[in-house]
Amino acid sequence: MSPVQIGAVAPDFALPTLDGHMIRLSGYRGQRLLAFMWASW
Amino acid sequence: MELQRSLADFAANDVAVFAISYDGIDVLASFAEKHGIGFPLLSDEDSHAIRALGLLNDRLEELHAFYGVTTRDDMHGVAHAGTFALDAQGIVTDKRFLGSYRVRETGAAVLERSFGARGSVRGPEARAQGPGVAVRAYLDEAHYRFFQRLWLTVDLQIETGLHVYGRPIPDGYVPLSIDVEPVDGLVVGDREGPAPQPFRMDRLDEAFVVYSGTATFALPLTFTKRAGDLVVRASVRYQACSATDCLIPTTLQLELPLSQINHVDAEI
Repeated sequence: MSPVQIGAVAPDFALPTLDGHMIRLSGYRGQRLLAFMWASW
Repeated sequence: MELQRSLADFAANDVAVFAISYDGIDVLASFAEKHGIGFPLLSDEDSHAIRALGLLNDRLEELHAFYGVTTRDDMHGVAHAGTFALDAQGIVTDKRFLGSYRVRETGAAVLERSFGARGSVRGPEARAQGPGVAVRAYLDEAHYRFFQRLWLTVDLQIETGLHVYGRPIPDGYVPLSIDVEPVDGLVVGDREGPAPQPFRMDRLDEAFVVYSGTATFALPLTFTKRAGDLVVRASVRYQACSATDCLIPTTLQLELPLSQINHVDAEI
């Protein structure tokens, strides 16, 4: 699968937060966003 | 990356922040509590978002070996470490995956390079004044970690009516150079900055490119050894000229002290 491309719309997804809510990427439309990919170790 | 420490700068520039990892919610909850994380940590335990984004890292064993983590069968699915930036329409505007999973940038560097916004300068700052040019240099953090990338930013304020030379340059002239004194384990990357502009001197056939007004340059500094507390010594060499005269070539020295810190686990 090709990585997110500059200039393209990022594929949407929904993921749970610590308090059990779901956050959807498309829910951030209207605001700039930084997504940080990491692991706890 | 010290995102948490830069959170106010992101908010001030209207940039939302979240983090995605393949850790379970329990792991993330204890991490968030321990480190006082104030932005969403999203759990992608089965890595479906990481896969959809095409950011699955297939070098898991190597990563775990580096961090001293034992690989279990249920741990496959880690993402490549890095950031991507979206605009208000959800379009990807920047990706910062540095190739080596060990190299990390600061939040201030990401804010500036992905969103064009200057955050608070937390690092040391030094100023110097030479003929025709004032220089301000700073680092984006006051400390470094093993394999962290800091940016050395150098602002030049060139007096009106003067310019300094860029490259390429005819023999006999002094181009702008920004150098960092060698430190064991410190890797200095290529200089970023504006392109110099063409300039023609009266009565001379030679072609020049020059900087004038305000020009900001940045050099990536990657610390590949634990070199302890140290001083980054930068030198800025230039010659300022007008259309008719040149001032004496000058080297300005700037000293920026940095301390080393060790906690890898406080990086977010």
